[in-house]
Amino acid sequence: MNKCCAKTVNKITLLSVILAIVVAVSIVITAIFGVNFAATVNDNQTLTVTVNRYFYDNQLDKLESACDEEFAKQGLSVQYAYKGEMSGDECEIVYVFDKGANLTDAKAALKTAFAAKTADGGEWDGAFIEVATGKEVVETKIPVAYVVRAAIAVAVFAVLAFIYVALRYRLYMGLTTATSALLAAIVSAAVILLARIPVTTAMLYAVVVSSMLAAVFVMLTMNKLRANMDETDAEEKIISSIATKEIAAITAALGVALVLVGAIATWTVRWFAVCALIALLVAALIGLCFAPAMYLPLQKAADKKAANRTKSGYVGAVSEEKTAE
Amino acid sequence: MGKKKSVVLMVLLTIVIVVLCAITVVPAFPVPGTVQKWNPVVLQYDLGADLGGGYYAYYYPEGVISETEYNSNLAVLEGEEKTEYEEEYLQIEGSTLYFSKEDKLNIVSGDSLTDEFKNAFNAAAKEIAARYQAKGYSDYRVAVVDGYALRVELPASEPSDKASMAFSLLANTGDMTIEKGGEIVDELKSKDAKITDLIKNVSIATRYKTSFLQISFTAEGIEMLNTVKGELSASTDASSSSDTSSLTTLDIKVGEEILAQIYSDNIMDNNEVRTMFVDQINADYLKTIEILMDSVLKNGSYDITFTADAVRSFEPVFGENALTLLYIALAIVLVALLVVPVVKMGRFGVVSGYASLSYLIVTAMCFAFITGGTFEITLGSVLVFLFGLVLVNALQYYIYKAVKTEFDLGKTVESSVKGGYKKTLWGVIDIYSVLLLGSLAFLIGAAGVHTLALQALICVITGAFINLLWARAINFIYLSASKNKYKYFRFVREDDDDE
Repeated sequence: MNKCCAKTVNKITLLSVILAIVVAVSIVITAIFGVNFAATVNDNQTLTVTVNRYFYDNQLDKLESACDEEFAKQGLSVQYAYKGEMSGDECEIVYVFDKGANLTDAKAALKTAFAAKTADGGEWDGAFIEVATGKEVVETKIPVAYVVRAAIAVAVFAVLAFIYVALRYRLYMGLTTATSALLAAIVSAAVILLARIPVTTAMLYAVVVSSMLAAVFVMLTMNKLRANMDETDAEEKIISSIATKEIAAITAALGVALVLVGAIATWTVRWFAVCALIALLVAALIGLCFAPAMYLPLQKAADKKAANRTKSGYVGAVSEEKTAE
Repeated sequence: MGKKKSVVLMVLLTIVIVVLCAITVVPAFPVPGTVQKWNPVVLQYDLGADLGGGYYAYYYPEGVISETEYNSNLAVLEGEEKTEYEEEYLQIEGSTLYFSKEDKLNIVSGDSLTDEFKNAFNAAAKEIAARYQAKGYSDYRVAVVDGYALRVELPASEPSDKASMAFSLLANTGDMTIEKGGEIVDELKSKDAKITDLIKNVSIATRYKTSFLQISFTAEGIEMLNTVKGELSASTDASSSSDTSSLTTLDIKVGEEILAQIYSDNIMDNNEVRTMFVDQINADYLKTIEILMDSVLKNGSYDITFTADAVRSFEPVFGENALTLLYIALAIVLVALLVVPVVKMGRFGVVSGYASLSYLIVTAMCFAFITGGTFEITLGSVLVFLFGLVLVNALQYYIYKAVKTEFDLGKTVESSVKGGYKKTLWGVIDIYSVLLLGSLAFLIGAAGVHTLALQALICVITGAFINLLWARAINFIYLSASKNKYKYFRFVREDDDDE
């Protein structure tokens, strides 16, 4: 994999353009088609079956089967359902459908079916069942304040990472770490939006964690770079320092874990696992390709500056012998 | 360290870890011979809506009822009464709700709804949604049902009593007033008087683990306080008196709800009022009051009254077993992280296994027992937990590689271990330092991101402790007890001069 990374280490312009295109296309697609919000935060239509507690506790399966049969007959697809339980006598099942679904016939058919079953001497004699439909328009799908504060948090993290790495290592290393962390969050969000993955507030978790992952991946490379500081050729130095195995190992382990979680768990968890997997891959890509490519010109510029200082008589960290070399 | 001592320590350590793991993950079961049930740590979390479901309630404006309620009421009526009831309500096209035609409610005009009602509803709905946002729930949903009712959802992490209180208080769209002994104070009696003439703002403060509401008054408000202070009862009277109706307090009300009572000793020397003292862990209750008061102070009242329908609880909407399935997946991941290191690193991999289990125990317990309410388990929590677990193992492998590199240079096992740990020390510290800074920065985030930051802090601190100290100590004990140190690390060297 190091060979692959070696090929991209000189391609900062190309990588920047590709990332910029991904972000730009994502913005355009989102502006045209809007955000693909998940069903749980989107507008919808509901069919509510209200029932007395005794019947709910003892015959819920039968009630659900009757509803499912009717929905199947009408060709309706239930997105999800709430089983709203009260401590009092009344419980309800709220079936949620797409906002364009036509529930009129299903409602009428269920009302007729339930009326027959709950009539005196009927199969469900004694049960009180009501059917109602409704349209729900969500006031706030994802609060803008939550997104803005998450963005500020990532920006502050980038600044703090820059300060820490610049103090501990070199200024340009700090710059590379901070840019990578910031970029990972931006590109992850862009790819998630571009891939039209159903979005909930949980997407923010994947995006912020992506910046942390990117920072860790870059730090692994920086650790190696510091150990290879004696190497004179900047390009050789960065290529030999990319922490390919470590980054690949973390990506593979976390990736497999997320695939497993996504494969076993329920719908919302599955889409979250997909978001997290995208964030992980973006962070790995940035750690393996973008960060080394960004580091190289910064290192060269720093080397040049140091050399110029030496030529002009300034003797700092670089010894005269090294300059002569 | 002597071999015997090492073996004893190993056995003790294993027993402690096994017991703690059992406390953490052994599934729930009824305790024989008692009515109690064993509940592991991982079943004691405050769960977000995706994993634990939550609560919901309907808000109907006064004079508006649901189709279900209308039909239920109609079903018990007959003849003329039924006709009269039918005539009392109007159903408009596109809505299944029923609207009262009662004149004083001013909802219906002819065959349509009045503009006043529509405007008041729309403005109030937006304000109520803003209040829930200010509360900072990780998952909440405020939806307008059929144009003129609301359905509000909260996550299961909120205890049911707090959820009921939030549903009730945040729907209050009434006017704010101050009453003394049941009478509106003189300063608010005139037509043009506003509550903002007296109260500047409301905030929550905490001193010595006690939280309270801090109400700042304007100059006019301070004058009013000074005038009435002498007539008010002291809070000590309230605690000693059985008949509180005889006490005189300054009551801050929104609508018909008394939000705060001010006693004479609640008025500080700096003319600020400190009231509603509660334990810090119950500050969430004050937060709801603060949000409501702040909302009314900034945006005033609305010409519409909502009735919060009964609160219903619901299971996760995509399946009741969301949490069980997630735990099965996490268990498989954990087992894989126990097995793979052993395969890759020999007995040093066993140390990684102990590190993984220690990480699981500490984070699982911290996630469960650090102040509830604000510390709910969301999908983000699962992600940071997994990230931390993988990182702990990756850094163990990073250390192992450094040890191996040292060994390949021809050093003894002991000096290779020493050199490996020494060479990776600052690298590991740097990684955890950056992650610590990240966790601190994410505290800026709102709602779920803020909670994720707190959980990330726990994961980072635990991970750092394990990689830098705990796993190193375990490795020291195990290595001391090991007969064949080469085998321990799966190292091979032909010229063996190590032992």
